[in-house]
Amino acid sequence: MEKVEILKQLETIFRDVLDNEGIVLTPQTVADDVEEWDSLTHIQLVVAVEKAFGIRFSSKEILSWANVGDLVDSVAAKLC
Amino acid sequence: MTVNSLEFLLFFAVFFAVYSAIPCLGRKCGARAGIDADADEVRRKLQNLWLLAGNIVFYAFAEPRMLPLLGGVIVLYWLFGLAAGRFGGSNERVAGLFSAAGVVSGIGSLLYFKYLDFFIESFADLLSLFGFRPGMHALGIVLPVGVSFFVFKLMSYVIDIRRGVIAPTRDFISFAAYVSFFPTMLSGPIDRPKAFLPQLATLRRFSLPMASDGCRQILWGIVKKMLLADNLAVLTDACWSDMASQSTVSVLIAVLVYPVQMYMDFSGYSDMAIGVGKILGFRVARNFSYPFFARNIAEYWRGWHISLTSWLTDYVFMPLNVRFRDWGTHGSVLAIIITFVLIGMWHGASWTFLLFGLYHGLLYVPLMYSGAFFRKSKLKEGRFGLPSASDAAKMASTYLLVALGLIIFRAPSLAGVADCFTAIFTGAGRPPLTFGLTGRELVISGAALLLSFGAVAWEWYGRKKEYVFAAPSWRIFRPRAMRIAFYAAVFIVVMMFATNSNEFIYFSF
Amino acid sequence: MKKFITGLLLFFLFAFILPWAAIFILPSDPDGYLKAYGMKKELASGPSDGRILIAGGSNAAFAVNSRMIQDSLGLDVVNTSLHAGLGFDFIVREALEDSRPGDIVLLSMGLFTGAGGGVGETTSIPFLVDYYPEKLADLSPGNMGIVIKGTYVLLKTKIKDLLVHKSKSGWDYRCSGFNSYGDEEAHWTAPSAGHIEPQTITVSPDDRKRERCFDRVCAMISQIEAKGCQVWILPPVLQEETYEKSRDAAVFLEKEYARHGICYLFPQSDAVFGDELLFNRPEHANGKGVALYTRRLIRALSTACCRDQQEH
Repeated sequence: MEKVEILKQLETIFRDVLDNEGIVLTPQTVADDVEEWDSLTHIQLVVAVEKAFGIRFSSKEILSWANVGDLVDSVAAKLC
Repeated sequence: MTVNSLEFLLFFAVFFAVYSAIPCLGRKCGARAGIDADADEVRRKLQNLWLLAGNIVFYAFAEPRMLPLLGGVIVLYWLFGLAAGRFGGSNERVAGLFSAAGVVSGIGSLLYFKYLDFFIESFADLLSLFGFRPGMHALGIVLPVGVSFFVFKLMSYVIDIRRGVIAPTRDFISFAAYVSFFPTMLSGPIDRPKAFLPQLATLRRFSLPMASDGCRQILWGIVKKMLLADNLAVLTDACWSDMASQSTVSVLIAVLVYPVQMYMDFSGYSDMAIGVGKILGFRVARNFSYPFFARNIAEYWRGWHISLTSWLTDYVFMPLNVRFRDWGTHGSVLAIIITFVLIGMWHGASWTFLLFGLYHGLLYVPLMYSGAFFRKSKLKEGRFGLPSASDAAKMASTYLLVALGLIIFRAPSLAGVADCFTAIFTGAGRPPLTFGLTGRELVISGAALLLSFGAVAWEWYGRKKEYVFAAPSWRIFRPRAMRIAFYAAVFIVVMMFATNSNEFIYFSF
Repeated sequence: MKKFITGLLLFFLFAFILPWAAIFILPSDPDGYLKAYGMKKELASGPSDGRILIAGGSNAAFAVNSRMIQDSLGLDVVNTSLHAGLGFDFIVREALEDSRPGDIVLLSMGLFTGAGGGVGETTSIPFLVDYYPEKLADLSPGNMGIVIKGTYVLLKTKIKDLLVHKSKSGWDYRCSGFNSYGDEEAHWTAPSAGHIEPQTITVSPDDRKRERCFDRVCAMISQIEAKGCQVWILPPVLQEETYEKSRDAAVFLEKEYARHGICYLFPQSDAVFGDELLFNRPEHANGKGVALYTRRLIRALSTACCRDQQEH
């Protein structure tokens, strides 16, 4: 799967979980940029992403993401 | 020495004189930074070395016997960081071991210094419940000043290296200066390496706007701490020291006043620490963001003691939440409760602090299960720019919940908590509203209370700013001399009505 | 940077220099208690031919009838004691200055002695400096700090006295309450309080700051002895209940003095009085208490003098 596609799908997931149709994601987006994205919703997003792609992240991976781009990379790596 | 003392003023005057002169030493210095990068690098190292020297002198004033310990852990963690970085790319396991060693040492040292005596005594109490009489005594362990703060800084350093958030630093002087940073050593805020180390990596030239802002913030902290908090403490301390003989009304007033007192005390000291940092050219982490305008307990904790709660969120809550994610909301609830029990216990080794943490963790439960938690809305303004009626009601109920929790926090023991509630429901004894104070003390405390309301209202209207204190923007205060006269007048008033006590609530953490 | 420095200096001018200017311009209480310092200093500078010099806090000013001592023992008596709030350091320093060879120096401090390192309080030292600015030069660095810290308390008091005229009650201490020996005698005939609320004075067992203070001050006491004086400690008058509650503090004091080889003139227990012998505070005797305390002092001194003449 292309990283651009992954990003698009993540955007859909974010909009759904955070209940905000106006969310736009770029590889540089961080939690501070999205109002509803905090330490608690973060885990809901992670679970939703794992379910959507049928993958499982390690704790270390999850805690090492600095922005959406890192998340996309992790998803891509798992899908190969 | 605390920041608002004469000794600190003398120390800082000497320290700052040299500190601000360093960027101007030698040739080719001046306002145009970077004109001679090599010379600036030397000056930077000198400035950090001087800062470290100041930190050592400051700490020696408070607790000279623990200096070797502080020095030892700084060296240890610096090496842990370097080792974790060295093996980071090649051998993940070894790198992980060094980070883990850092975390374990940190937790171990906190457990030893803060909690060992508590565990021993509690264990002995437990055994005596069953009729055993063990000859165990507390070891009388001395708490190193600032241990709760610098150990947290050290742990976040190794954890962040492991997570790839920062790279380990080879600059030992900078690292040591960061961990022992004197303005925040005694009572925080807790700075993160990611935000602070880069500031040590550049030369700090004197900045008039920043230094003036810092001075103003220090003065505001002095107002909150010495004029408001200390005078409110006269009232609450009088009530708590003699709870059994207070009337219901008195106890209720003391309970409702205490959150304001804590806020003025702790945010006041944080302002002083942050202000001193600004004078030195550092941006210190924010610690408070108008917590009383919170409409639920989650919002409250996003604005109260931010540097501590964000630390525990990043390093305890997040990992736990990730680990428990298969259990959905239940997992998050468990993670929150554990995190808050730790927040409670961070304040000290006592059952009351544990209960305090547990109480706040449990307050999240209805929020999280109802899903109301996740909907964040902007504060609506009603008439006169005040909060809307529904928002005001939410703020009031949050405040009440906080006041209730602080009864547990303030009580000298679990029995003391019960005493307080007994006094509320069966309060007899002294006539209401006297608290056992003299008339004069009552007037001053009452005035402090009114002023505190004023301060909170002022903060409401200025809640978009970092802090509200400034000379009014009237024409008379346009000239700088007049503004300075205003600040001097404020200072004189505070000093005339400050009490003599000088210990902060968070000092012994 | 220059702007910052000028700003700070301006702030210092407004926040510190101006208040002191106001302090010196505003009138001082003409009959203020601490004003008596000048009179006592004059008394102490008079001729001496082996006299008794009493120094200490208000407990000694309120407990002694110097005339009675003078009549009994035939020695001149000067009572320079004023206010324990001036601090252990200041009081003994003054005694060192005042004492002459051959003097018998009786030092009487209360149970708080040495707390805070021996410096005075912000409600005493700055007020003394207000009356006698020349004293500023004689102060220890610690007491200089107290003067700075006490600036605003002093300013507030003077402004309040200016705005609110309070006539003095029988229990307000005045300069004019002292007699020509330096004893506070107005309270000898004033009505007593009757019941006095007992105080509990505690002392932490490992108070190094206090021990160091005693080291410093007792070294000064040794200097007084080296001058050719005899020095004894007068136990402070103490209310019975206060003494019971504050045993630890009393024992700590005795231990500290003993550690430096300084003796009590008579035991503390002989200075423990019931409320009927007290004026208005646990450490202030009333007329009857003064008489009893003075008699005990005279008896102890005459015995000690005989014993000492044999020893020295």
